[in-house]
Amino acid sequence: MASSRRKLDEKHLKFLRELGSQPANRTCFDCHQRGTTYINMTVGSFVCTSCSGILRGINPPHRVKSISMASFTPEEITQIKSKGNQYCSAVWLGLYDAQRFPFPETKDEHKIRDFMITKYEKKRFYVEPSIAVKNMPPATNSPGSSSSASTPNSNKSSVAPPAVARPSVVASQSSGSLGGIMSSVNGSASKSSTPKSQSSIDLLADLSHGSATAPVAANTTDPFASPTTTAVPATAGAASSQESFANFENANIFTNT
Amino acid sequence: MGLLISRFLALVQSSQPCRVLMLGLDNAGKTTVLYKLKLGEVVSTIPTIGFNVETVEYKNISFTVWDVGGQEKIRPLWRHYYQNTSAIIFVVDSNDPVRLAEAREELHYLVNSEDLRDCPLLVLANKQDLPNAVTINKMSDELQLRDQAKNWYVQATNAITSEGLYEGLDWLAREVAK
Repeated sequence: MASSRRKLDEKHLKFLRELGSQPANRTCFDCHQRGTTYINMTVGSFVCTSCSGILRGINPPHRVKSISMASFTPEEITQIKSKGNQYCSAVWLGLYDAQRFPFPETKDEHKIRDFMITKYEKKRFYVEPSIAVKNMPPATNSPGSSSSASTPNSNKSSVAPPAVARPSVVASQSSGSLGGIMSSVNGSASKSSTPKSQSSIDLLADLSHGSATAPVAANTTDPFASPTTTAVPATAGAASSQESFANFENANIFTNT
Repeated sequence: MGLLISRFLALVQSSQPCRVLMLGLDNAGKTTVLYKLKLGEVVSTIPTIGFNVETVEYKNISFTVWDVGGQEKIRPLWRHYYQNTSAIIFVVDSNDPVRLAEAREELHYLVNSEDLRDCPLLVLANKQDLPNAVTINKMSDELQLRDQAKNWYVQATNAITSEGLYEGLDWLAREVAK
């Protein structure tokens, strides 16, 4: 019994570390610092240690759990899988305008706390998840997935453009029934995100089978991938961002010579 | 002569040392309680990894309070702090009724350990200001304290305003002085 539990814990830890190494989850959702060690269980985001401390003290307090020092139930893992930083920024920063609300300096704790209050307590930038999910760019959440997998999602987003969606958000916020909003959140979020998470799981499984095969496969499907990506046995999530990085580097070399 | 008298007074008045172990689930408010007692102010905390230790002088007793991190996978380390402990403070988040059963399990494990057999147990039912906080009566039931042989006391607290903290220490001071 105890050993099976430990095995499950190890499996969860491995999964969370992989999820946390995706580009969006690698930087803290609240202060943008690199390196995420905690998960905000209330909203489902990846955060750094100092922000996890601040989140415990806002009203109502958010529940945070350390990736390495807590254990997670399978239900919690499913929850986290369906969320993450990208989902959270579509929901909690859906109406965020960097011009009007400049993001606080990374090290100033009071400003970060104030921004959290604006974000979570006042819900200034909040978009109802059922609408926010439609506004999310579909490809980036399941990096490296084949084009056929992302087609249904891209269709969905073309049906509901953000400009149309926003007035209905305001209406639902003014109605003010928190419980109603939350329950609709859960239903729609889990439904719409299932295919995505499914594909990312398969991908991770592929990676764990043989890290050497994965980059090669990525190259065969993507004719524009630069040769440097094969040298890095990165996760598929990192591969997409490193492609452009590598090209940028190459371009630099060309201008120098 | 004056020096002799002052030395004698210092000897008589020197406070009795008392090693206190402060434990509880993560996010109960242990670190906030510690620094509220030490500095009298609310510090912004991060989840404790390892421990914090401070001495607090109160009622002529010098409490050395060990505040040990309470996250699940570092709880097995608590037992390394048991030795020579004279009192336990167990902090509970009253606003988190879902995890009261988890707190009870940890508490009973503590109470039944041989090294802590003679230690009085002060339970701080913290965060009493929050809307879903359970009362100290309910807390005593949930933690199943009533059938414990140990000397225990449940104190409702709000570490932010320090309400109840010194009442709890009063009880502890009396127990330690016995």
